[in-house]
Amino acid sequence: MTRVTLALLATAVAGLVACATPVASADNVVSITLPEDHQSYKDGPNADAARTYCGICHAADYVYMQPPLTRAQWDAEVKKMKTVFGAPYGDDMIKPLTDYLMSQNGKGS
Amino acid sequence: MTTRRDESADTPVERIDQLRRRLMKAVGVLGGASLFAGRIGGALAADEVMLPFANGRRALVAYPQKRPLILMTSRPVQLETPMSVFDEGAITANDAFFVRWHLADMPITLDASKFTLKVHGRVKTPLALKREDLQKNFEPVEITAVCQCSGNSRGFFEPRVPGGEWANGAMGNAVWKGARLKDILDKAGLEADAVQVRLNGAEGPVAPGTPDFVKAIDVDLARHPDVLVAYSMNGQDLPLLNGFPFRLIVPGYFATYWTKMLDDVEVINKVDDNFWMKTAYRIPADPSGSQEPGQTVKTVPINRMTVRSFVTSVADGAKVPAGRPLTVRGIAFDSGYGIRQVLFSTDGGRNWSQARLGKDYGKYSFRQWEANVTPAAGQSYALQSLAINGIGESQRIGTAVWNPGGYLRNTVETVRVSAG
Repeated sequence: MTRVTLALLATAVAGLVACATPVASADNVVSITLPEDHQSYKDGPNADAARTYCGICHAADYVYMQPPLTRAQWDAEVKKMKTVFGAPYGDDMIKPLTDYLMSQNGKGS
Repeated sequence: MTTRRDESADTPVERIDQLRRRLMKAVGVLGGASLFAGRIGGALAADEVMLPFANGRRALVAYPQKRPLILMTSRPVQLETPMSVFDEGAITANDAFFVRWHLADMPITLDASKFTLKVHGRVKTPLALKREDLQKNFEPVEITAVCQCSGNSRGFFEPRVPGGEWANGAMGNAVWKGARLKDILDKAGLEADAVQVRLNGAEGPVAPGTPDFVKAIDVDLARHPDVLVAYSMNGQDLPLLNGFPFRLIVPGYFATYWTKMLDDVEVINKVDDNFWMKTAYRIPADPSGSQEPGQTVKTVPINRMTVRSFVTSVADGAKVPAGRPLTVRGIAFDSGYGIRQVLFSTDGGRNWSQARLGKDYGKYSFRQWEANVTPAAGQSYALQSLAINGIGESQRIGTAVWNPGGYLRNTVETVRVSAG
């Protein structure tokens, strides 16, 4: 199977949710389909920026599963994503993204 | 043939665009629905569970090759095993085994006849091994061993710490079969200056600037006869989400070193200083593994697991029948000295009795235990278990371990039940 064919196959089934039976041939090839993100980045200040910059690498679960974090903690997370994990945004995005995260799962103001 | 999650994108920019489109699609599908994260305190749906800490509401979702498991994150995929699974036996079924990926660009299609493990660096003869080579050209070894995420139980840390907010189900125990890493390294022939072995799997970062997930272990550990490149899990192929076609097994050590879809072993002549060794997955150097919040302490890479045990047959808050004997079951494990005894208490640790130990599957395995109590009507019980290993190490009693990474929790856990 060529890469292109597989790509088309994957695209065709990408909309299906969970429970896909793995395709196996001769026990050598295993192919699965991963469900789409279970929850989205909800509306809030600068939500589009969060969807773009946070959503590149990870689902919104990473925000909502955390205990409510203080502004200092979210600020540190946003900076860590940029400096350590290479998130592609400039320093000017740190406050807007922190504001969004505070609106979603913040402690204090 | 290896198809990645975002297989049709060839450049990082295309990948990001594609993921963004998929994300928007997900927003479109789900955006108008009442998302469970927003329903604080709302009733649980049939396919939801509430882990016992803030923001602990989780969905139960069946991923490919898996039964419904507790969904922590969907991209990268992280799935937690419900505690009731551990009451099914000492061995954790493949379809219930927890899942933890670090980086979203992971293969979703793999051809085991083509997938190759490269062994290179400070070796005399570089190797390129397929699954068939591992199966046919190396002595097969079988070991039953617990695989536990470094961050297992992070959600119980107080004060809370950011990270993957697991309850106690980021662990599992399986019969692993594979080739010794030692035999592979011996075949390649280590150069005299070899210091560490760097391990990389087929998962990769989405953003170009994200450090690839690479771990390293000392040569002495890499040459330990119990460290395997495992191509079989409980007598079957590994589920893709657990690292098909093969993963590293480092019995006694936390799962961060158990590299899934292992495709690159590089022998190096220094101590690895990449992000995932130098900065992440660090624990306080103090033998307690503990520190005060806000304190800055010397750290070392996380390594061996600590002694733990759990009650598995009854859940916290359960009602149990009064007036007749109740068998309480659980599991215990350590880092490979084996469980010597498990003590059991029904009164929160004031009085202890010996629990009976189940079948011994080896020193790296879960050991099941059981004990009896006859609950009296109207009484409440604080069930606890305390495991002690072969060299006398026990679980921590009293104040739980605290460190900013949320690692090494091994306090005596309490399950409260009442008899009605």
